[in-house]
Amino acid sequence: MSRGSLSNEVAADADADARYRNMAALSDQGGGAGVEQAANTIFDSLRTAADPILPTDVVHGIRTLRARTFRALGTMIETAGDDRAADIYRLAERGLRDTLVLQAQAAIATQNAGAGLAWTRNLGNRLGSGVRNLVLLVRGGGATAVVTGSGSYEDRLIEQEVERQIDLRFAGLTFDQMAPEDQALIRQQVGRLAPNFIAFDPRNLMQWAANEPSTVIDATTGNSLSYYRLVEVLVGGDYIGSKHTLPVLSLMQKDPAYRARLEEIYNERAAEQPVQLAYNRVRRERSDQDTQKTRIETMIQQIEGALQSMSQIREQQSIYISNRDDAAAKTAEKTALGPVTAANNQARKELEASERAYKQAANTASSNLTRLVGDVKGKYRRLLLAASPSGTAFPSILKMAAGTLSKPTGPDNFVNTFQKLLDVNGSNLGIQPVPTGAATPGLRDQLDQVKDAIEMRNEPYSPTNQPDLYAEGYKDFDDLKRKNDTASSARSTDYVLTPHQLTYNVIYRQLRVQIPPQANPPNNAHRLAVENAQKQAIMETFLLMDRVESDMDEGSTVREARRLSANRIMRLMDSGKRLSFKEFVEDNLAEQDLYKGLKGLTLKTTANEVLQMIREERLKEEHLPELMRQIELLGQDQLEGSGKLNLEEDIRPLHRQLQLAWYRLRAESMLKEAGKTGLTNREEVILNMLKEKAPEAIPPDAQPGMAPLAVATRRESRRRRFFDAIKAKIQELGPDSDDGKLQTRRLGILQQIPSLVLGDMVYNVVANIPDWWRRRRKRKEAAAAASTAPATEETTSETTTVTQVEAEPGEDTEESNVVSLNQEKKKKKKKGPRPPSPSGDAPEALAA
Amino acid sequence: MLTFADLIHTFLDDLGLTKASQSVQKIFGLRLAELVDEQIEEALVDTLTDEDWKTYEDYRTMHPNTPSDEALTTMLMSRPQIREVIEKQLIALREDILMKGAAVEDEMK
Repeated sequence: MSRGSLSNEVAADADADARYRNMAALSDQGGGAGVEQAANTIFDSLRTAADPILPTDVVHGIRTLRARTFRALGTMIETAGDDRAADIYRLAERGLRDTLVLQAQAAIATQNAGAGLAWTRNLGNRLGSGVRNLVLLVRGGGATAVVTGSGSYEDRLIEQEVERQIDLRFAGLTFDQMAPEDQALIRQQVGRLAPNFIAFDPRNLMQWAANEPSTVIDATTGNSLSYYRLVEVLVGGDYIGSKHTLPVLSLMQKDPAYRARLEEIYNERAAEQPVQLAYNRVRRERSDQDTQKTRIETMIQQIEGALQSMSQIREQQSIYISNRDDAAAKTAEKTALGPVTAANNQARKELEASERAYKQAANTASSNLTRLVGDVKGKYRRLLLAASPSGTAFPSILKMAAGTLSKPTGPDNFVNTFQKLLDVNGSNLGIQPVPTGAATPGLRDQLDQVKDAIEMRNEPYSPTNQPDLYAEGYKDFDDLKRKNDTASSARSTDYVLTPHQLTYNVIYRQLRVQIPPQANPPNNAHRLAVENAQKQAIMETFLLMDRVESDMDEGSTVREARRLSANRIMRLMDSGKRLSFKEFVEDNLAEQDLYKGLKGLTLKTTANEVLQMIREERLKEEHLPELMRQIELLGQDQLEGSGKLNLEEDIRPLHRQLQLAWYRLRAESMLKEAGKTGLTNREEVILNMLKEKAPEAIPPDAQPGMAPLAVATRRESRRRRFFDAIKAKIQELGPDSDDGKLQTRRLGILQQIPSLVLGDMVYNVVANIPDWWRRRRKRKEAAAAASTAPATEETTSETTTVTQVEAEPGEDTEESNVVSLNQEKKKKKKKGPRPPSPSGDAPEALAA
Repeated sequence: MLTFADLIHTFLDDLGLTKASQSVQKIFGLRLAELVDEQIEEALVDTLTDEDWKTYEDYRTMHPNTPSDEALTTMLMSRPQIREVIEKQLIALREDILMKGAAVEDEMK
């Protein structure tokens, strides 16, 4: 393997970058707003790295691009002496590490194929051509799962070791502290941001931009603006130094004509006309009025909703007080009873029963009350937070309300306070500024005022309603708008563009990637762009496959990846037609070496049948988690919308069966080892099982088009953000904080969540019994009842049960399961290995 | 109102452990509490946004002397989706526990 072909990788990534830009350009064909929308989509994708509408490989490309962008940004901010650099470095490090981990894992897989576990010495070759091609192939085909392995213990070890190696190499180092080859690597990565430029050091570029004066003179200071400031103003301060502005700055450095054009645009923008100023002011006012109207209406609606809950609270309070008093009366009567006699004992029993009933009723009312109070508190806290983000009026109302609702006068206080907001003084909610010394009307009156203003704003201007605009010669709003439009049309195209549009247009013009105009622009330009990107991804993957086949033979790993890629590509190409489950099994699963014996797999396959396949060696135990992942992938495909199968009704039950089979295998193995603690075997095994995690469940937040890797990455990035945020609060949240290390992980979070929040959730969780479990329990009870039946029936029970089961096709029962397993165990004793069982013991089947 | 203890008790009941000795119940209770905590943590990781943390910070700023759990309550109550996600995670956890219990039960027959 040589490192010389690394430039090919650079070129390939540059192509990928250009592809994202092409997508934005294609969107532009649908109209002027398309560019901004596409730019926003891509920018958001860079931020979240999880745009569900993009193909998996594009998402992956975006994720790595994001890492590079952050890295570049970090370097620049560090140069500027900004404290945020450390945070950005950390983000970048994570993204960069993801890429390197992938590459290193591919190197490991390659080496493992030929040289056992002697992979450590090959880490240095991870950028070699073979690995590069493999990684590109895998990225292109979205078959990462195959290369990263089946999640086996060995894989995890390798992954940990790679993480450690990369940590050793990068963790805690600033750019300047890194080894020269690492610096070069990062520079190369940054260089790919602007595909047609050579790699550059962004620090130099930023310094140049900050120091180089433009011809634009700042009207307030009389000094020349730097090019840095010029770009900052033109594209917006938030974007300076970002992916969008790096190419702009680079262009400015290279091309004087381009610099002059930007200066022109700046001057044009600075010379705003009076009509534009007037129009913008009026438009802002109108927009404020609309916003205010919506806010007030929402407030009123929410307050009225909360007030309705008051009557329920009052009712529960009255039930509670009445029952509590009755219970106390019964207690008093009981105490007053005389000496122990038969009659007194009887009376005491009756009084106790009565007392219990009252207490029970009081408790129920108390629970209801707490829940209702919780709901209302939640409602008006949200209400107040929404209404008063600055919190000016928040404390007093919240203080009044907190903890008082459950007291007898609480509801009245609540009603009075909010009624006043509605009818007397709505200023407490911060909707309108409070004029000094003047009473502010209630929300309802405020709403009327705003509605009146909205109605009046289309009236002709007069010296009384709009003296300034009238004096400037505008007849009404339509007149003002018309004049503004006329003035605007005289401006250059660049002037009216938003910062995003400006940046993109400039880039496209300079890089000559404009798309020729189409005679009939498609209505759904964005969809077309995505489809085109998919086609391009497919073509690239085919090219990569050819390259791999002709250049090298990396053994079975490559072939396996290729096969999976091909299947995935076929599905992409045939996106209008979804595979049936049978097709999926026969054309996809059974074609893979690992799953050749799975042709009989159906959506109704039970855990017992899976175990049978394992016993027959049609499926290896260690490949079960990977099979589950494949089923997950299928489920995600179905989530895309046009699938034939239903995720909940079809795929998840099968997934559950596979999971149950996995758990049974684990339980079986643990049972063999049990007996080492003071617990019973059953308790010991259950405890050990609880310590194990599910192999790979379908992520609850899985979105269409997201591969497991993307889901995992997104989770990881959120986790990081969560812990970053909570770390800052550790002094408050964690009972024990250890020099900055996170100690809130276990039980810490839970302890901080008050019962008020937990209450409803617990109720719902307790009430939510899975159907399969409910049916299973019912069957157990029936079986228990049957076992207590007269002995004459018991003597024939076994054969009768079997006969009944056979008489109900498609219905697996617990009895059949018990019988079959018992028979299995008997056979096992005689023959050794466990024989297959014809019946299913899976949750659904057992419960049928 | 049901409490956290009720939830743990439900899980113990699901696993058929309510008749086990107190010490055994305590061991399992602790483990189950850890699992619940993990799930809530996962849910919060997935759900909390910068806006939510801003709610928290706003409350802390306005009420510097109140306990932090009030701020946390405000944050969690401020968006119903947060509680929905936690609830979903806990329901999934319960199903996982039930499956493990079923698997052990089946293997012991």
